[in-house]
Amino acid sequence: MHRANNWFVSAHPDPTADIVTNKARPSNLWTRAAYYEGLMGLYGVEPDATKKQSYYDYAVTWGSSPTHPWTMTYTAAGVMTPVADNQACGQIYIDLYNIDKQDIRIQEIKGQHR
Amino acid sequence: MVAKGNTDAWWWIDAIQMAMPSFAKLGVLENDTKYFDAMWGFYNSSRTQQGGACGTRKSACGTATCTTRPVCPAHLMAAPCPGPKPAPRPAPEAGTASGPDGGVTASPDGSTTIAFDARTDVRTDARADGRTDANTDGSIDVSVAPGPDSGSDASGDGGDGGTVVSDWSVKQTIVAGMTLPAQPKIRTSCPRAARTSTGRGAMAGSS
Repeated sequence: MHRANNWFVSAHPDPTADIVTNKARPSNLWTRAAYYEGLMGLYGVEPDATKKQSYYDYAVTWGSSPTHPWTMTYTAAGVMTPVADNQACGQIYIDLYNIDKQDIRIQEIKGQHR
Repeated sequence: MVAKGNTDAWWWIDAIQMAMPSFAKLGVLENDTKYFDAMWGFYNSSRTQQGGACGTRKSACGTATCTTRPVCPAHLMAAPCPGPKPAPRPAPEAGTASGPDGGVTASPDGSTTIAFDARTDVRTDARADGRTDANTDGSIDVSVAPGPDSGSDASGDGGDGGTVVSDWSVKQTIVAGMTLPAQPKIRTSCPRAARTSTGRGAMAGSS
């Protein structure tokens, strides 16, 4: 897991940058949510405190991306999206909220499911 | 989504992985089972409605209407329901099967009759594609599965462009003399994709 994650982080030094494949997509895309789901799993079992903190920091930087802070994919704050893919990032926001209970982190995902 | 009460939002296969965790985590966080109830509603709809509602769709063979699930393995496996016809038999190569060719014949009514004697014609030629195999008693099992997801996304992001493929598969033993009914059309595209302007097709169509 360290090896995979080291590759990913070095390949994506700025977690807030758009994902560019055949076109640019925001970094809170579901594909990235799937990565962070794994990262939070690694966070849960990581014995090295420094590494653990780095995972958390990387995830928080991603979640608080200036262009879409703690919002659903393709969706502005306060706007509802029923699309499951767009909500995928929300589970990571909740994980990060559970580590440091800042309401802004789950405001949007709570709004979606309410 | 909980308050709105409609449960038709998850119609593609990985939607349950995309959205279920946040429902589960919020339910735990707020100690409120409404999230779990809503999650079940979405999931149950994806299972029983989005792929074809119970009782409204024939099983793949067209001879039985499923009343319990959109795709009912029991019906597909039942004796009166032999399942879709097997793949056309490729031309035998020299030195392989020597049984009567054209063993599968189509009737005007669309039914298909297996005329070859499976107990003597092992059809080694047909095994190359992995679809058929001979049993020890000489009968042949035919597994039929739908084609690949026609909406696969070349972007590498895995989006399926709003196309879903039913997940049915059948395994049927074919013996000589068996008559297979006409194979009905299997719906492979999601009926919602075209009309859900606010859905994934438009917003994430991309994704």
